Amino acid sequence: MKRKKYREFLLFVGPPFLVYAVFCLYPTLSGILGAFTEWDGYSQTQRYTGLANFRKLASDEIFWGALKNNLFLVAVPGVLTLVLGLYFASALRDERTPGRSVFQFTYLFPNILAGVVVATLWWFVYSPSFGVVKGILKTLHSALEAARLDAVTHWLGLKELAGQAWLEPQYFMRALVPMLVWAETGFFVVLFLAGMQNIPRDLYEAARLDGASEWQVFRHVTWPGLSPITVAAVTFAIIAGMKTFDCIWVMTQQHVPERSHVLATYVYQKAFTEAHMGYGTAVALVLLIITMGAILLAQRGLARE
Amino acid sequence: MRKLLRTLVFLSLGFWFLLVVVPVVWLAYSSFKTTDAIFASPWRPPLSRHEATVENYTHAWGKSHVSGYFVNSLATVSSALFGTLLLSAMAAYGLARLRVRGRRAVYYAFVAGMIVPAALTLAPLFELLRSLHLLNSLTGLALVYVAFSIPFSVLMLYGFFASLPEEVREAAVVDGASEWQTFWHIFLPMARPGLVTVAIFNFLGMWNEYLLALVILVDPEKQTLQLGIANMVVDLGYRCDWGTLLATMVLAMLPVLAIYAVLHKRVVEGMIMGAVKG
Amino acid sequence: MRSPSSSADVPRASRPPSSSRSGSLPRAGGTPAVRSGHGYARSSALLFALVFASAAALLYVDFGRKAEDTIPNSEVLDIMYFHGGYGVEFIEEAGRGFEALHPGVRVNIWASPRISEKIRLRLLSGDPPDIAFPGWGLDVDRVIEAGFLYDLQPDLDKPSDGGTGPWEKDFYPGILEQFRYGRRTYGLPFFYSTSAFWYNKDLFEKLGLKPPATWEEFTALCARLKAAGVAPLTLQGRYMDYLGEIFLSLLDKTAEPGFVESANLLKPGSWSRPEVIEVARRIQELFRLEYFQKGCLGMSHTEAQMEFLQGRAAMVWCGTWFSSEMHDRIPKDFHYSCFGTPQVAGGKGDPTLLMVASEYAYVCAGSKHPALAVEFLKFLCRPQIAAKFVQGREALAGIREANESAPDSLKPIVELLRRARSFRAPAARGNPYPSWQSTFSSSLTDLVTRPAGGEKFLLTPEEFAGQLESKAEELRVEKAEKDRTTELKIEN
Repeated sequence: MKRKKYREFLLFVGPPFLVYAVFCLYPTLSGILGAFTEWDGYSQTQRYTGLANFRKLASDEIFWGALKNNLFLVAVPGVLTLVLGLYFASALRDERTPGRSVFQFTYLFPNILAGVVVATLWWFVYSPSFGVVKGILKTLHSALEAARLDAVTHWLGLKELAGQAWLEPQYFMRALVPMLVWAETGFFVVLFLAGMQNIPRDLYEAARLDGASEWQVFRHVTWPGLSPITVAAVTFAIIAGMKTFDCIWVMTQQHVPERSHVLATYVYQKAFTEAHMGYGTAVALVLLIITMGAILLAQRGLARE
Repeated sequence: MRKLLRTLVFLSLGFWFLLVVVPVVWLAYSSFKTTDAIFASPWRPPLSRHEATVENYTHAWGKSHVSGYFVNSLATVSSALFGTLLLSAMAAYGLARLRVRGRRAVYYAFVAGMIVPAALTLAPLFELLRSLHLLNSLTGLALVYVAFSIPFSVLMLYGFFASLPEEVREAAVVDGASEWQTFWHIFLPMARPGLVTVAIFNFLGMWNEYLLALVILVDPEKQTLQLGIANMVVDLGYRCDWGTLLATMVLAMLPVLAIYAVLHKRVVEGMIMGAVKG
Repeated sequence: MRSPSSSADVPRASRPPSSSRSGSLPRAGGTPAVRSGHGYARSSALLFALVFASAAALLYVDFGRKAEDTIPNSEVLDIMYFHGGYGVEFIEEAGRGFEALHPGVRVNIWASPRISEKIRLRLLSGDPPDIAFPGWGLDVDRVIEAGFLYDLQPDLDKPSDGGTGPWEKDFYPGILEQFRYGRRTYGLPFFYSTSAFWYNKDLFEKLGLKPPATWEEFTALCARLKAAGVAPLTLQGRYMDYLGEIFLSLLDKTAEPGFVESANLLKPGSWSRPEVIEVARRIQELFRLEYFQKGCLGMSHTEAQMEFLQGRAAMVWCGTWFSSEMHDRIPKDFHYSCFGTPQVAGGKGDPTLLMVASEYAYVCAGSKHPALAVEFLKFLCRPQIAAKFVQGREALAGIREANESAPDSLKPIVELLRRARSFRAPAARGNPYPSWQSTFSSSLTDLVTRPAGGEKFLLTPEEFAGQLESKAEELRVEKAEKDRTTELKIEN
């Protein structure tokens, strides 16, 4: 009887596990090991180099730059999308808001588009030949000038920005933020809405009866009630920020300048464009470790709250 | 005062709505304009006869090989989807219903795969597929998609299968049904809502995927839709063909839009489960 | 797998016990069976049809098309071609011409701007093309070391079609050496180029300017242009190699002959020489005085070149492929010409030296018809055929005779080529330090970049030289170590 059970188990779990192990687990483990070798893409030899790749990494400026860019992409779009997501979710939770379902429906849409499509769309927006961004900035500049808010203009550096090609390396990361916020916010709206719907209504009733203001309701009922969702949201923001590849790859027309690298594009460049497969894999391993570390830190930090 | 606040909030909602909708609508109507018209007046909808054209679509579909890319994406994704659903359901069923020692460990082994970043597997996958002669093939890509989708799908379906009543299974066994029959004819149909959600979630992920396809597919005939779009953006430097690019983007968006419009609730469900369980 | 019709049997028998007890689960036990029979059978059948269709499509795309392609009694020449400044029309037309001369041969050309990566992948996966035109981006020396390319020297020693004397003599001197190892030659220099400053003739005439002969004249010219409200120079900033070329060509003039070659080979101490610092200062000054167009660091090559063509910048540094690359977009009444890097007062270099490059063609060692591939290359290099490229595309070929029919815009350059006493290749021979190129570009970027809103550049000329020298030292050390360690062979 037992043997039959094992056989059946094998029948059901065996094939899936086989495919998964061959095409997912094995490459992962091989990748972790490969990070300790140097592997020129042409010859068929792989040399064991121990920690050499990691030592090289430590002094590799481009790597640190890429890491900084990733952290920027986790922090800035992350915070913005979370805040906006919370805000819009709260606004939509209120049943008195007209057109709720329409808003809910449309907000999520950019999120299901392919990264490639979003990046191409925004590449057009930023393209100097069309000048959509330039136009907006120029209008903003003139408006502020008319309102005599010169100090603000100067502080924002609008005059310089209005004349720039946005895809210059110094501004590139910042230029990505509006695009990422546009694409990701909907997801957080939906996520927080779902979370809010799980908060029992009696708590809200009780708070209302106690005469709590809108803000107090949010702070004492909604926010704590959302905490598991918030953890999930932060985790998601971290993973998304660290994983970024598609949009940068497309916006730089598949030729990423050094300053604009993120870890994922740097891995591709090293492993495939420059044939340093071992080094590239080492960078990927560090990417994995940092992502996991960040998630653990975030979860612990939020749990304490 | 309350009223003012509420109006402002509503205005902000409306503003975001416009921000989301306008670019997409612009994309849609601009794809029917000639490239010159797009450059000359980017914002105007193609109202006049000599601006409007269906040529972008015919050109994309034919000369720019988008029909081929579409077929490639469709064949790869649907095959991978079927493979994923079948294999994940089998695994979830086996793990949930068959009381075998050590099944916890196997379950964790499956789920652990969700943490894997694609970037780490690029070089090894390249080598692996090369030695299997599956490099530069859609079959290879589909297999990789299946393998990467199994962890999450098993996780999701496990819940479904675990919650179904045991009496049904016992009754089936009494009737002389084999394990496979029980699975195929009883549990699988019962888990249909879960399957649909998993299917949609995976479809979106696979249809929009780029990095693995970039590494695995080399030849131009094998490119998927997303690869095609990215390549067209590069070609723009040489062939200023915005019209075709916009049409291709719309074509790439259509299946996703269709699924979203019809199965909106499921999409949301899938995404939430994806985030929470992940 | 059970056929759909028999599925109805099993669940029905189990209906009574389950449906009575479980009220919570919506579809407990029997519901699918109740719906089964036709509905269930039909949807299962549909499902199977879909699965079959997608699997069939998959296999067809992967394996089916190749079989289709084999037309009996024909040989297919697979060419992977860099779609860049030289366009595809010439190679496609040449392909058709070759097919006409050789019935039973099909020439299959795959052109792409990113072809070098694809070539690499095809070489690695054991499925090489017959001929490769990688353009830029492929580390050819490594490819040669790994044995992927076919030796062309035996064919170069023999006469080509209808010519006298060895085929080798048809080409410019010095250009075959780049990929020549001992008595083996790998690269065929079909596309030939040097770089120069292209200038807007109409604008110059309007302001009474002439092409400068010295660097001092050049900077004065820039000042005049700036005062007149035009950006003197623009730059293809996303590809730092362009600015790198300006830098190195200035260094050619400033330092003694052979210096740049040894610097590219990372001879110790070369990058911290005062000549390097001087050139760095001159280049940085062009940025400090804002002679380069604002925003140019983010421009692609076509974007910057468009700025030039639309009159917003007066000069742009580009290779002789300029007219070819911007072919369709040169305004009708736009007049342009070019001048070489101006001389530097007190410069020790050979004033006639020109940096020349080529986009080579290679035959792959794994090709199934190498002789046919060489035939095709010989066909391309026939002076009459190559001349069609030179005239039609306004660019230079490596075949001397073909350049005699160069159009007017290139005549100054052809003259410079004729008078040049020495040539320099853009990269060091053998490319022993493949990562030097990007290291140099990165430091150069910092030399000319100011952080957002800042006044000072990220590097001073002295820091620039010092940084390059220390990075060169790192690379030298790394290479020495690599040459010493043992290898672990892994079975393939």
